[in-house]
Amino acid sequence: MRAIRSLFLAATLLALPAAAQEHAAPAEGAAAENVDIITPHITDGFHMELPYWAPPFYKEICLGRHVGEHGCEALWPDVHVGPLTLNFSPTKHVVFLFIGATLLSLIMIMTARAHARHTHAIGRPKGFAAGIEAMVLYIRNEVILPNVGHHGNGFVPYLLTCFFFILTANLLGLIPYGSTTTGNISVTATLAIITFVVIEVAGMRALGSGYLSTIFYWNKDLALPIRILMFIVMSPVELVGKITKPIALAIRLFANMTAGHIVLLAFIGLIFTFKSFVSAAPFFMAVAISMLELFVAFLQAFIFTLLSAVFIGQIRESHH
Amino acid sequence: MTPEPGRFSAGNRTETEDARQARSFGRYAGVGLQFAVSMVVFLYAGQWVDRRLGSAPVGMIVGVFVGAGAAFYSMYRRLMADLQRDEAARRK
Repeated sequence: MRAIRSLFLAATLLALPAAAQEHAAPAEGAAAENVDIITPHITDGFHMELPYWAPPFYKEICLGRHVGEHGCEALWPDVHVGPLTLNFSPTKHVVFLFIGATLLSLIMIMTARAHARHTHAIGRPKGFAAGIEAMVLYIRNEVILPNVGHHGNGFVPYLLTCFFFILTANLLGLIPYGSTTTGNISVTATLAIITFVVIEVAGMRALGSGYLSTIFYWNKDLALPIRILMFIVMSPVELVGKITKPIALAIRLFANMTAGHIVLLAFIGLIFTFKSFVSAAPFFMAVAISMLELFVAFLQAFIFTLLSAVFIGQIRESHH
Repeated sequence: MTPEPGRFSAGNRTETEDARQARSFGRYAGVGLQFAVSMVVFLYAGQWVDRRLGSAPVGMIVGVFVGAGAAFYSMYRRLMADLQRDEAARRK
């Protein structure tokens, strides 16, 4: 058995340079032409790469309609809503959003079951379930409850969902053939808009009619003409302050994920640019950046959750 | 399986220094962007007034200064409110 495995490995290794040469042959003709490997990797598209056993070890599939030999277009036609032109066709990021959501649901439901089973049997969770419990409890007790304030328990499910969803999306971008959905501004903007709605509704519920004072500046200590002047000047500023929070959330997550992947892909590109022993340097740098990206995946999910909790707490306690 | 009361509860814990720092970080993270966007909003409002009244460039210049001033005052108010809240919490 081992002999067959070694033979297979040797055959694969021998085939690699041949495959590389075969692949390089057509490129030779267009030597001066630069190929952009970074942009297609980080942007959304109708193409998707699947693992494949034969060189070049991936198979490109079209998620939309085939056009010509290699072209690929949107599956469904555009939809016009007023002045907007929308297209709801599945793209690479949509597929990965669904993969992420399904994977997360499965993992979490199975973990919750295992947690209940272990606790019932031996009084405590063990293994993976214990690890997830530690993360959940840390986020709940150290991040959400102190920041959201009294009766913060109602916000725990939403914020934990945000944390684990962003974490899954970030990590899916780090595995081979994966794609970072959080590196798409539309995805992060949607998450930020949902968070914005949660923040504002939390404010409305906590403050009642006092919520209006978080938008409109009406200082009763001032004389009426000054009060009206301040109302006109300050209200837009307060509104801007409200809207910039989710914008900052969206851009922070998007920029961090995109920037990390660009750096990583640039180093991987350098390995093939040098084509000599110098390639070792970008190789080790790429490994180091990968480790950093792993950390950033957790960090950005944590920061999104922390800031959401802080903003919810902030609006609930603003009585001035 | 229900956890015994208090085991998972964080209601009565005292706030750690880390949590307090994280909160102030979050609280003032958006201040810079608010400052910039407020100035731009009032700049465009000033330009609009200029177009209406033909008073260029007075409206635009006044707009920028009013925007910067208002954003600064908003930041000042927020800082003062937080300071008072911290003072009140310390006195308790």
